[in-house]
Amino acid sequence: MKIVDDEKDLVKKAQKGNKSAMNTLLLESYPILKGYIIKMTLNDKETEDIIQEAMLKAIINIEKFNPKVKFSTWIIKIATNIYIDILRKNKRLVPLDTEINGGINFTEEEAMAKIEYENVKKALYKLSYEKRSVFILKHYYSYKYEEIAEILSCPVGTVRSRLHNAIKEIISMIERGEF
Amino acid sequence: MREEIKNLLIDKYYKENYDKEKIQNTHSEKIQEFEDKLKLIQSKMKITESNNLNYNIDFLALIEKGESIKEEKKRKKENLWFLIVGFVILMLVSTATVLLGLKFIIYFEVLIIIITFIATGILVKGSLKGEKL
Repeated sequence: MKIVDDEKDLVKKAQKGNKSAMNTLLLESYPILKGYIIKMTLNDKETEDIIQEAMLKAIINIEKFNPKVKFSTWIIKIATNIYIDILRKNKRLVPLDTEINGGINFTEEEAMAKIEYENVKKALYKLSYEKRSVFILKHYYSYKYEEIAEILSCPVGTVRSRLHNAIKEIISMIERGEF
Repeated sequence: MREEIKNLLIDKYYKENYDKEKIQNTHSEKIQEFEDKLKLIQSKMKITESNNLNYNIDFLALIEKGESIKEEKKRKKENLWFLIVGFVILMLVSTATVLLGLKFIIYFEVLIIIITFIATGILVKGSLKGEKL
């Protein structure tokens, strides 16, 4: 409750033009925004651009933000819309392959983590972006169906069915030994 | 296992509301089998957040940029309003002049001069009060 109240205070201050409050809000939402966007785009360069654009839009439109939802939820919604716009323009983003063998300074543990990460990326890439966004928000960040519906501007029932389908697709991939 | 039961088990796994009664009527071995698959997703889809994914984002520079964009938007909006109000006043005066004759322009100018004097007086008084405080 304290955290929510603190965030509301920060939002009020930011809406009045307090740069320090705005900075705190952005810093606090940065890790979740970065994690979500990198899993959505699977592309490092695109992720950086989307994060910067989403943050800029949040700064410009902070007066319109209604603190009924969390600030991170709102900024994720902005970032999702930016990503959907990019998809519409570019048709489909291609994930960049990170070199696993090329990096000579990897320890065995780091190399394993990289391989596992590549496998997860492949599995996520096979899901449509609608299912991917629902799966990421639910599986990695434990958002409630209602919050995901708010972020993606769609009914709760749609969120529910997208998650069910995403999970079943991933199970099929595992059963087929794809990763 | 029916798709409906699988969906309920997914809801249960992700701590959402689900119909417990429907699950209770299903064979427990099949439930266990599907729940094991869900647990497998947990381990297979695990991502260790990599430390090298730190982007050079200058938050303060972004805030400055955002503020200047906001100022620019505000300035454009004010200019547009000024033009619209000016145009409306000009139209009203022109219409009134056509309807009431050229004398209206003289009355209008006298009125504007009086309003300007009164407004200046009020503003000067206000700023003097502000300085005293």
